Amino acid sequence: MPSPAPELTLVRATQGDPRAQRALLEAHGAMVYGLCRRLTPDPDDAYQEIWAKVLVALPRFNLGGAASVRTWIGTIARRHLIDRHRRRTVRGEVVPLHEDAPGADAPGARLAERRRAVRLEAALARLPDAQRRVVVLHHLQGAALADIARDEGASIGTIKSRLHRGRGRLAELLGGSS
Amino acid sequence: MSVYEDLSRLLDGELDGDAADALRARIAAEPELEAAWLAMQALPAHLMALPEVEPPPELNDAVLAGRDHQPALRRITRRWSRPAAVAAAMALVWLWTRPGPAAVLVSGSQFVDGQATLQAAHVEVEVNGRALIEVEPPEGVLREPGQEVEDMNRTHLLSALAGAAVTVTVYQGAAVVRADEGPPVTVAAGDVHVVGTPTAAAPPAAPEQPQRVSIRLDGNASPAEREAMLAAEIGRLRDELTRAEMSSDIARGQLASHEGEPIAWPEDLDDVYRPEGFEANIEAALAEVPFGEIEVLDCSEYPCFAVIRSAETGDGWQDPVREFADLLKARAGDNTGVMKHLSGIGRDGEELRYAGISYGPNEDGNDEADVLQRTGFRINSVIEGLAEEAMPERQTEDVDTD
Repeated sequence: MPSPAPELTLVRATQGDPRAQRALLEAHGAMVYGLCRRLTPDPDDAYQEIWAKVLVALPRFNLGGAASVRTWIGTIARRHLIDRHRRRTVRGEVVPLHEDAPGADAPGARLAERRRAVRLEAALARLPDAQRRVVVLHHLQGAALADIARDEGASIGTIKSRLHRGRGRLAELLGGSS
Repeated sequence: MSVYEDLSRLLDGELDGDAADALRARIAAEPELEAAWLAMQALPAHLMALPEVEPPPELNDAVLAGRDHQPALRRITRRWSRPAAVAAAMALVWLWTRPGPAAVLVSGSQFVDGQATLQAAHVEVEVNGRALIEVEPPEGVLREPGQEVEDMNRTHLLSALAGAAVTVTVYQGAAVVRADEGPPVTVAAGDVHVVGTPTAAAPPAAPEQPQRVSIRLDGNASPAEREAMLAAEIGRLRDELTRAEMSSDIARGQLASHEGEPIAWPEDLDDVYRPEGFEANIEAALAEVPFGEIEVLDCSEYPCFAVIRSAETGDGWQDPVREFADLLKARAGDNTGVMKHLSGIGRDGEELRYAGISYGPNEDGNDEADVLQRTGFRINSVIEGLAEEAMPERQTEDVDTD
């Protein structure tokens, strides 16, 4: 887990300092890119769109507020990815959701952990989009189900139902392959 | 509601006492359910433990430079979508002693069924499932099956194969592909991953029913025994592929009668029928008749279509859709035919309404019938997908298609 950008760096980033903004990207880019990779077929594009929003909104970030900059960026990313899903434009070939196995090349990762991660990523990729969004945003990003429901424009019951379906399918897939 | 969903509810304490007791009894009695329950219990921790994914450094540069990132980083990974003949190819497999993968595929193709790691030219492929791995060596290197490789050591051979094209087609499970450059790539079932540039134009396609061809590369057999075993498997593979070729031809004909054939974009098409024009027209008409939100806009084939989720679900929801279609036609021109596919789905009082809309220039007879058949299939497939996503247990009613 990358350490948050130091407060001074954050202040400079909000003031438009390019080096401070780069530090912000390097500190939180992996969190954003992980969401993009797991929730969109074109993660590179989504990643740039999210950071464009973050950098535009950065001067308005409340440095003294309760939310950390990581939470704030994560919220922007979550809402953008949900909005993006609402308006899917399919042109040309559909690319699969996962090309790489995130973490498969993590230095020092033990083989069993790596294989487990690969199996889990593969199982996640097989979930319907709506279920995968809830599972990833809730379990990986730590978003509350109520927040996801609000962003999705769905009832909390619908979101819980998607969560249970998604987790049930994952358990079925992973239990069968263990 | 599946028993696996109930496991999730049990995990969250959302099952009442009797239901929870009954499920626990099933878990104790059914090994498969017990395995799923163990997986369910570990799931939150395993999900949280999934590593973050570092973006390519160029992406951060692009963000800060405020310019579009060129999609050159995107690897060549294709989803196979049509049955096609699987070309039988000679496989030349060389067995290595440790270290490294147990076998090297230097030319031709090899099915893997199960868990195995194969060195395909300069690319390492780890399979957990069923996959076809094809190697096309560079010009002048081991083009002929049976060419002697014994005198070459591993380093020299892999160096000579550095320019080889490697195609990995996964039919079931997943494969991890590790090339010299770049991070590992996971290829999911139904996908094809290509490293290098094969001369063949089309990617290989899966047989209708993947055949069971097994190789065991991790046993205790001697290299000679394993080589003999692989040679026998290759013979079986040829037979299986011949049968697959025949069955895929039959399947292709059956699919064509159901799905229609993809239609090439006409060369002299007016802009209003092309993707940009279609999208602009849909958006403009929707601004005038805002009956819902665009869920999918698909221009992957001719003609484009949009699937719009209606904001209204009660009686008469089709009326603004028809008004919208008339407006589209008026904007596109008199010689335009508009196709509407209206579909309603529901479950337990929750209702969804979708309108699939496409349009194109009026055509004659068979051409128009082909367009309508294919477009109807495409729209229906998308609506089915959306419905499955929104309401896995539902009732679907095709309200109208014209």
